[in-house]
Amino acid sequence: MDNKILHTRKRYLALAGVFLLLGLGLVFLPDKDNKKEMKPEHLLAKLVDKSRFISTDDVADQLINNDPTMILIDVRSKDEYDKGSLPGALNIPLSEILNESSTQVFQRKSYDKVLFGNSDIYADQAWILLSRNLMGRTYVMKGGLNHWMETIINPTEPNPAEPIENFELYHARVAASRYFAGQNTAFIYSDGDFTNTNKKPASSQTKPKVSTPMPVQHKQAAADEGC
Amino acid sequence: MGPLIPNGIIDAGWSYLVAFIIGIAFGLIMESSGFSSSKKIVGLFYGYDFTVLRVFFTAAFIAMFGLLYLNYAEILDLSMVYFPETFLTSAIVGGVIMGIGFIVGGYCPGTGIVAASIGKIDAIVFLIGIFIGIFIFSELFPLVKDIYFGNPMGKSRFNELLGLSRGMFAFLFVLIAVIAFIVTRTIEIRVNNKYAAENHGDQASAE
Repeated sequence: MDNKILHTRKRYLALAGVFLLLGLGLVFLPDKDNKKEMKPEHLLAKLVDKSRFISTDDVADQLINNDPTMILIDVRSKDEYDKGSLPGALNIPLSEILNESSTQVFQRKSYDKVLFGNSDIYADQAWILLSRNLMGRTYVMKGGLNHWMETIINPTEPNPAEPIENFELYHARVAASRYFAGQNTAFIYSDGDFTNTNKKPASSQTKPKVSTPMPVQHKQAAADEGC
Repeated sequence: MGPLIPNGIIDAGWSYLVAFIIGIAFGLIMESSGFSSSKKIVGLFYGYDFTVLRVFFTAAFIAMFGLLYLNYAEILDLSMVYFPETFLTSAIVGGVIMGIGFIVGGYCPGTGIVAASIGKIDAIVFLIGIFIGIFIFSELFPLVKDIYFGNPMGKSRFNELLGLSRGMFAFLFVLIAVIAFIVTRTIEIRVNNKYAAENHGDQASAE
């Protein structure tokens, strides 16, 4: 009996010794700084891939259908944003794209973040910064707001010789245009880039629905935690 | 390489199956460690059995060593491993409530399920209680919201709060745990000897 206890004690001591040794090993292990960045070659490969672009028609369609998984992000300056933007869009200027508060928005994995500016140059730059920092599910609205105006707000009627698909697209755009004009939120009044469909001066009426900053999302606590 | 699911090595769709398999292994080991007995679990509070403490500390070591060494070997990216944010008030309030439930009920949620799965009636009642508790909490959530989100500390790590390196904290943790093992073992032997002596005395007087 005593032998058995002694044997158990020896095993416990051996185990404790192993733990202490492993722990001691960790003290001398340098802290590894995990780089949360995409490797340049991966980023280059991603840059070539055009799937990051989302068409203005798709954005309009998702807006009309109130797609809850889409977050629109206006990367222009606050002044420009205040003059008008897409309905429900958040304003995160390019210079603030990697701020802590912005990061919280981009870290929301279950949302598609659609970036846009006047054209797609700044939005694309923002996309590169975000992708390099591994913020997933970000897209760029192709052509930006200029293209939005040309295609959704003021669509041009296709030539009679054009295929029927173009007419279908045109009609969809006209309907979308009416929808946004009716909302009176899809803008747009600005200093030159855009024309105001309603010919109204910049006023509170032309402002988009003001999006309050999103509260920090509290992820669900891990269910498999503890005992 | 790891974590396997966030890195897409295992598709996220499989996560439930992975959770299922790990859950079964977890339950099996808890059952074979004797965690389906409420007497064994609450022994921690009365000083006659510290198995719970030993098993959970050991599990924490293995996970800690695994994560830190694999991170060092670049097999696992520790920065991608998810852990929830800390809300200090709710951690303290919740800890107290859970501790009381632990002593009164004799189980913690995981061990309660293990015990219920082998048909222990007290554990089944305990589980029903858990669901009633969840329901009440959900219904009263607007009232306790401030407590729930009180003192948010974000994603904080203990070693960062103490200003220690990860490795140093890990070593101190192991050291404290080994000391705790020795101390609790001493308490365990003393309490059990005392019980044995009392029982012996009772038996003697009964005779």
